Amino acid sequence: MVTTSGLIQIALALVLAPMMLTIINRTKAAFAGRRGQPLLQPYWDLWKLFHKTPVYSQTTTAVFVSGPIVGCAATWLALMVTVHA
Amino acid sequence: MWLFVAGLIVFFGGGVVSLLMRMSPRLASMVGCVAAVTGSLLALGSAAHVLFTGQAAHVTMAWQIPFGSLALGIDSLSAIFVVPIAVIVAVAAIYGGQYLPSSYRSSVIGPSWFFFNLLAATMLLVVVARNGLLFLLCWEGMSLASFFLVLTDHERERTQRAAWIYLAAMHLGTACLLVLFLLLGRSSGDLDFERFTCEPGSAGILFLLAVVGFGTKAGFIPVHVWLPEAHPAAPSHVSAVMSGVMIKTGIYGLLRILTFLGDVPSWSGWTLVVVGVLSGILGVLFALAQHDLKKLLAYHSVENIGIIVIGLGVGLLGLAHRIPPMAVLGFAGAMLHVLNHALFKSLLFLGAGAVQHGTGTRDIDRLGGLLKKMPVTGTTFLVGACAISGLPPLNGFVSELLIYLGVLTGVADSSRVAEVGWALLCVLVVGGLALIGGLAAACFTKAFGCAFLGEPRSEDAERGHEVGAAMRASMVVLAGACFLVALTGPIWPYVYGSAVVAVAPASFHGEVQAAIEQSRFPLMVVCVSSWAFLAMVGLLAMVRRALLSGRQVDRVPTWDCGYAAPTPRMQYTASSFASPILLLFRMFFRPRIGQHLPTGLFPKQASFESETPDVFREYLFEPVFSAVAWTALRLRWLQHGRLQLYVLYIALTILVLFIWKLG
Repeated sequence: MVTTSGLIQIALALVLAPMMLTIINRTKAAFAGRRGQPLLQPYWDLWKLFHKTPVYSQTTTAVFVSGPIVGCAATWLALMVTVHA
Repeated sequence: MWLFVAGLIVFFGGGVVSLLMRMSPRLASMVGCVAAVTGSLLALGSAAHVLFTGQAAHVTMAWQIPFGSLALGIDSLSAIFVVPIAVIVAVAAIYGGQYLPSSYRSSVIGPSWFFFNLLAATMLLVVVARNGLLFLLCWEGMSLASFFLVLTDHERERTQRAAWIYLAAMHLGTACLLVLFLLLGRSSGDLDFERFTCEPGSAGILFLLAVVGFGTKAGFIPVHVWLPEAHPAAPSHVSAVMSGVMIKTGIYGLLRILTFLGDVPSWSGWTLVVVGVLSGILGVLFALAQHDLKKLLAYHSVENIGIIVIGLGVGLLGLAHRIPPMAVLGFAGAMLHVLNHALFKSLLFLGAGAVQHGTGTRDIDRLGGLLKKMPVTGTTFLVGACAISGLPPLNGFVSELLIYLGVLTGVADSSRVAEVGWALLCVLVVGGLALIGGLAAACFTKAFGCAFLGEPRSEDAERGHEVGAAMRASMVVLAGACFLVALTGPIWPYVYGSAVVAVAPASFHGEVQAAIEQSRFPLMVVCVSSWAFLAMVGLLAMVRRALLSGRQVDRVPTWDCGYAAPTPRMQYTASSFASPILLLFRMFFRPRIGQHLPTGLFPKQASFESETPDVFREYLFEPVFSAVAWTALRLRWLQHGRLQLYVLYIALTILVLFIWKLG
């Protein structure tokens, strides 16, 4: 059932997910002899993207909008099931 | 039980009345529709009573025909098939009440309702018949009623061809069933089910006869060839009934025969698993190659019957090796998938009918952008597409999960872990089901994406309009039911429990009963997660709304790389979407491609068309039937049409029989 540690795990997974990009980028950079991106770059990117004006094609429907929502909910749920089961 | 009989009388009465009302097609349609709905509700009531109280109902009447009595009975196994039949018939009748008069000539309406009601009544009779002769009579009635329904549009040559293929396939199947019932009834001398006995050593041959005979109706590969012909030819609400529930009577027959066979050998389970995996994978691959929406759906019926048969095979292996959880999960998954497939496949066929009604075409490559013109049809079709692809939180996922769990528990059974055959089973079933699910998702991405999203590809699609209220309502009901089954997971063990026990041999009932209780846990998890998923989608949608509130949202034409106005013909087509997957599996297909490529410096015209015929029909059945026709032609000299000659034949036959008997 729902435990505090489980909730913390889920919250951490959400918060730390963008950090994965930094780790991949830094690892690649280290092997190529570069310095790589700043540690918090994905978070700044997200911050910037959240403040842009959304543009949708006239052809698209609700299916297009619901794509990210359903994808995010499914991943989140998979996480919850694996943590609790 | 009398409720059920009353339902049957309503079906027959309503059918005959609508046939007689030639003067007023509108009234005939109303009578036929109301009779079908009332009859279904009465049958549903009596099945629900059996399921809730757990008491089987029987009625026996005397009749003048030899080989036993006119016995009807609803036990739990019958009831779980009566429920989908009654629900789908009622919903399809409501849809048909609006669809039929607006799409077909008025002269066919009365007969069509007569055969529709006849089909409903005979389907229900098949699953409650308790006498072999009655069963076969109703089985034939069912085949003939649906034959005439397929022929509704009888002036088109394709329809006639489809109907003849259907009729021939049904009779080949019935021939096997006739032998099967005679063998089962041989020792007792009559054909009452309760006196059926399986002579020792004959279980294997009886099982094979049942697989071929019932498999022809259900659409196992390679005897599925009638399905992709007959289903597209019939009116859509009839396709929904035929594909959603009529083919399931084959599954019912197979299960009923299993109850007579007692202990079945282990190879029978393997046979079903292999047939199921083959039907599933080939069914979905052929579906992927189609661009006629209804033909695509018909091939998906072959695929889903494959999934059901995999479940039955897993269940049989569980019985043969005495692993109760495996048997329960396999059979339960199969039985639940019978209901689930009935719901979503009927929904999809009704949706395809609405598309045809709204645009006049079923060719996916000529549709497009319909979600905006037909919002209800489009949304419900999307629900059906997700359900048939086995995605949570919909019903297709629940039954497929049970089958997965069944084979995994069987493989994890400690006494069998090291066996090579058992590992092979795991690879076959889990790998097969995963491949089927993935390909089904690809196929419905193609069907939904190309038909409902994007821009209209033709003027027909441009003119598309939403269908009437009754048709929309019936689709919404089925879409709601698809959600409901998944969201009420833990109640289903109560529904299918006693039916699973009925299939298991008597010595095994206690353990099976315990395993049924355990099967509620995974369903509980599915139920809770489904609710959580819906809640999360709602939550995220609200977050999105909050983020966008008070801000500017632009809606502009699609970025076209600098071209002034892209035409809809520049879109991805259904054929090009499916092409990479089909290339991967090209050893199974023989597509016919007619192309006219652009040539020269200033090409003017180019064209491309492809058609994927069924390889089993082309390379297996057509040679066989041509050989039969050739032989029959050579034997024409026997048939002169002269009566004296026929009398001579009869006399000679009797003489030969006498000599054989006496000599």
